[in-house]
Formats: sequence, structure tokens, C-alpha cells
Amino acid sequence: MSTFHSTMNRRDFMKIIGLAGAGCGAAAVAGQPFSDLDELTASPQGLVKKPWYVKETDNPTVEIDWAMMKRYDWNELYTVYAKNRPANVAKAKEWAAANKPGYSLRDRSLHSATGFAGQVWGTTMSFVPRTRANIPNFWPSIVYGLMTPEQLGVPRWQGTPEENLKMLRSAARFWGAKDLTAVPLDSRTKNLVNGIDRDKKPVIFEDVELGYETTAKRVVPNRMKHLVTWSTLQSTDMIKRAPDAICASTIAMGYDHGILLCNRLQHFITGLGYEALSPANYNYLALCGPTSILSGQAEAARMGFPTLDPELGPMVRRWMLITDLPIAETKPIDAGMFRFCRTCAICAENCPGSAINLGEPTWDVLGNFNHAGSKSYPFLPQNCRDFWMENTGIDCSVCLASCPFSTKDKADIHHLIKFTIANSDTFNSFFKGMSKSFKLDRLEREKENSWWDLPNQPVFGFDTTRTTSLE
Amino acid sequence: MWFVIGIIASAILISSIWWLNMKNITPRWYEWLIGGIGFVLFFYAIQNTLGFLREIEPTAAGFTAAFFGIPALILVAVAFRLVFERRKNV
Repeated sequence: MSTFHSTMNRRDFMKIIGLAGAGCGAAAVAGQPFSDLDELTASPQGLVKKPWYVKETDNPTVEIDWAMMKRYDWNELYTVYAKNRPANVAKAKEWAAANKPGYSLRDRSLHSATGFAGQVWGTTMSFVPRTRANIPNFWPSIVYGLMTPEQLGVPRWQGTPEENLKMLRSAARFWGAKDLTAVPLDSRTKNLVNGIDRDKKPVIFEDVELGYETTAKRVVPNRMKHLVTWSTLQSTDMIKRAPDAICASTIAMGYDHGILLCNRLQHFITGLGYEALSPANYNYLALCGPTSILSGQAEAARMGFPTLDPELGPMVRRWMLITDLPIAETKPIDAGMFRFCRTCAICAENCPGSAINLGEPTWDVLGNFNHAGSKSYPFLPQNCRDFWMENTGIDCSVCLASCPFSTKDKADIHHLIKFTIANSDTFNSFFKGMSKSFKLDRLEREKENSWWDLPNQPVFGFDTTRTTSLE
Repeated sequence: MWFVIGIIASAILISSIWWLNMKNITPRWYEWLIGGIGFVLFFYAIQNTLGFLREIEPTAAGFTAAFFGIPALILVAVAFRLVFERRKNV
């Protein structure tokens, strides 16, 4: 019988204990709240952090020629839309009867119910604060009725621009915005304010103290300081089901939240003693996409109206209002996304209406429905809307679903790819190929697995922990 | 979950080092490097595969399992092979 026993000297024993301790320490650190570099470098002011590989720049990644830019007339777009065919009702009935995934009775009802709420809330929007619009409060009490500083007998709110930005961000985040930023309202950026608003009312700048509205015009005081812009969220799982009613439901939800935020932010700023001029309907009044690009929330994209958020890609809705509250301005960003669009073009390849430009960025526009003044990708909105009508009246969003930036963040490789894209264009073709090979842009997902059966769907359909260090 | 994976990874690493010590095997620096890269790639493959499955992207999950997992296994096997070939020759 062997009497051999393996022995270990004290030195080896202590070495192993040390290694085991280091291993336990490493395992413990893995469970710490600091799950990435972003959290370690988060500003103690609580400002919304951007991913660490996103750079701030002095100029946006899309070239702008302010001399070319004119204030937009929304009716140029809606005149074009008016020429579109009507919604294909016969197909809607056929698909509902056939229970086509994404177009069944319950899918359409989900979309209709979500969008209907937005239409109702949209009627509560007011260009000027409601206190001046003489709209009575439902609760005539100190609790919900707005009491201005004058009524309370206190001076209006005084804070530094940085404090005001943090304050507005905190409020906006509480009410459902992902981020809030501001650009100065100057002789250049006034070109981002609509010349003619969606309801055919001209928007005029005058030397007055307060904004006002008549039957003939909306007036913005020249003394207004900032365009404030924010984004609302949408569900990735639902967007990926484009172009069906499930996708359109989360688009409508983004609008619903944006409308509520317009009302709330306007009310809040008014309560502080400042002026806040809101879109009178949905997110018109000014061009939100360019405002978000100039203020560092996003970069321009190939796909027309949407812009690219570094974390969420095009899966956000954008909103704005005009105010005289002093707010710290934020710089544009460069995460390599607009440059990636040049190589990628998956949205254009997949667009069922052939509305998205497949070429190179250009200063040219295709009509007055485009907004001149940037070297980007002119878009054919009539083709886009035509497909919506053929799609039984349901908004499309195949471009949003196809974009390689429209992903969740559970797989770590997304961060490695985004870091690489932010720093080099060398691998852009490879990453486009990966996106296609991985079938990240595949359609008809409702047939694969129904959204109605997905387990553990988050509240409102989106994972808000993606954009916060709070767990 | 990652706390548990960290414990398991640490246990594998420590056991390997203890076993090498017990057998009186001293890997060379490049053998450590090849094995270490393979070890890291293996867990990167697991993270991305599970991550894409959570994202409901099964094709992406399969691709990353193969793209990172196969090289990981190859590298670890190469490291072990190098060590044992050298030991056999000695």
C-alpha cells in the first residue's frame, strides 16, 4: 500500500491562500455597482453621462452652412403628403381577418389606443404657458394650480446655468426623458425655428417681453435665450417588429411621453418665473433633430428625420421648447456614427419606400420639403409616407429597426464595436457585414416570436437602467 | 450571475496553478500568454452568447459563440499541448 501523501510547504500554502483571496476579491468586485468605466468617471454633479468613448467637439460631425439655411415651412412637407394615396383599408381588413402577425385586431387596437392618448393630450399643448392662455385648472387649489413667484411673493428662481441644466435634466428624467440639452438661440440657430408652423401659422420674432399667439401668428420674443431639446424612449423589442402595428405602438408611446414632457417642462419653467414657449402640437415649432445634433445628444444619420443617440441609436423621439432660463450649453459629439452611415446604408437598402438616399453626403436638396444647409442625405418623405399608406396606414420605421445602432446592450461586444467605430473607420465595412450576418436587421419578428408572449417586458417597454448608473 | 462566474473562473485558475505546482511544471511566458488569452476569450464568448440570447438575437448568439469560443478552446488546447510536449521531451 502506498503511503505517499502529497505535501505542501508553508510557502506554497500561503501563496495559494493569497491567490484564492485575490480571486474572491476579483469576484466580489465583479458584483460592485461600478459595472463599467462610465460609472467610475460619472460627474458628481449627476449630469447624464455619455459612454466614455464619445468625444465632445466644437463642431458637429455633419457640415453646416448657416448661410444656406432658411426657416422651415412645414407645409412644404404636408403638401407633399397630401398627394399620397389613401391608407389601404381593404388590406387592413384582409390582414386583420387573417390574423396576420403585427396587423391583427389586438395589434391594431394597441397602436390605436397608444396613439389616441397622444392625440387627446396633444390638444392640451399650448404655445404660451397655460397661465396666460386662461385655461382653467381642473383642481382649483394651491396643490396643482401653478403659483408663480409673483403670486407666492418670492423672487423668481436664480441658479447658475450649470445648476439650471442639472435641474431641468433632473425634472425631465423624472418625467421620462433620456437626456436634455440646450443650444443658444442666436442669429444662426433661429433658422431652426419654423418659419411656418405645422398648422400654417407663421412663427415671428419680435421685440416683446413675453411670447404671444393670435389667430394670425405665434410670436417669439427676441430676448429668448435657448432652444432646449430632450429625447423620449422607445422599446427596442417593439421597434424591431417594424413595420407593423406593434412597432408603431412604441413610436406612438414616444410621442405620448414627449407631449406630457412639453406640458410639464413648460409648466415647471413658468413656475420658476421664466418664459417657456412650447410646440402647440406634437414636436413642431422648431427642428428637434438639428437642435439635438448641435447640443451633443446625437449625430446626424442617413435616414432623414431621425438622429443617432450614442447609446440608443435612432430609437428615440426628439422634442424642444424655447426659453429665457439661463442654461449651460452643451457641445456637439463625435462617436463616429455619421461617418459609419457613409459605409453602412442598411437603412436605405431595407427601406420599403426607397425614400432614403443611397449616395454620398451632399449639400443638395430634393425639394423644399428638405431643410437646406447641411451636407447630409436628402430624403424623399413622399415615398416614405406612400409606403405607410400601403402598409394599411401604419407608420413604417424599418429604417429604425435596420440600423446597426438599434440594439440592446446585454452583449458586451456592442461596446467594443461602438468604441472602435468612434475611433476608426477601418472596420466599418466589417461591422456592417457582421450586422447583416447576425441578421440584426431582419423583419417579420412578430412571426418568429410574438411580442405578446415575451416574458419580463419592462414598464413602458424600455429598460431605463441602460442610461443611468442607478441599478 | 457574474459573481458566481468570477468564483468559478478563480477556482479554475487557482486549481490549475496548484496542479502545475504539484506536478512541478513551470510554463513559459508565451504558454501563459496563449492560455491566458484563450481563458479570457472563453468567458468573453460566454458573456456575449448569453447577452445576445437575452436580446433575442439567436443568430448573433451562435456566431459569437463560434467566433470567440472556438479560438478560445484552440488557444487553451495549444497552451496545454505546448506545456506537456516540452515536459515529455524533458
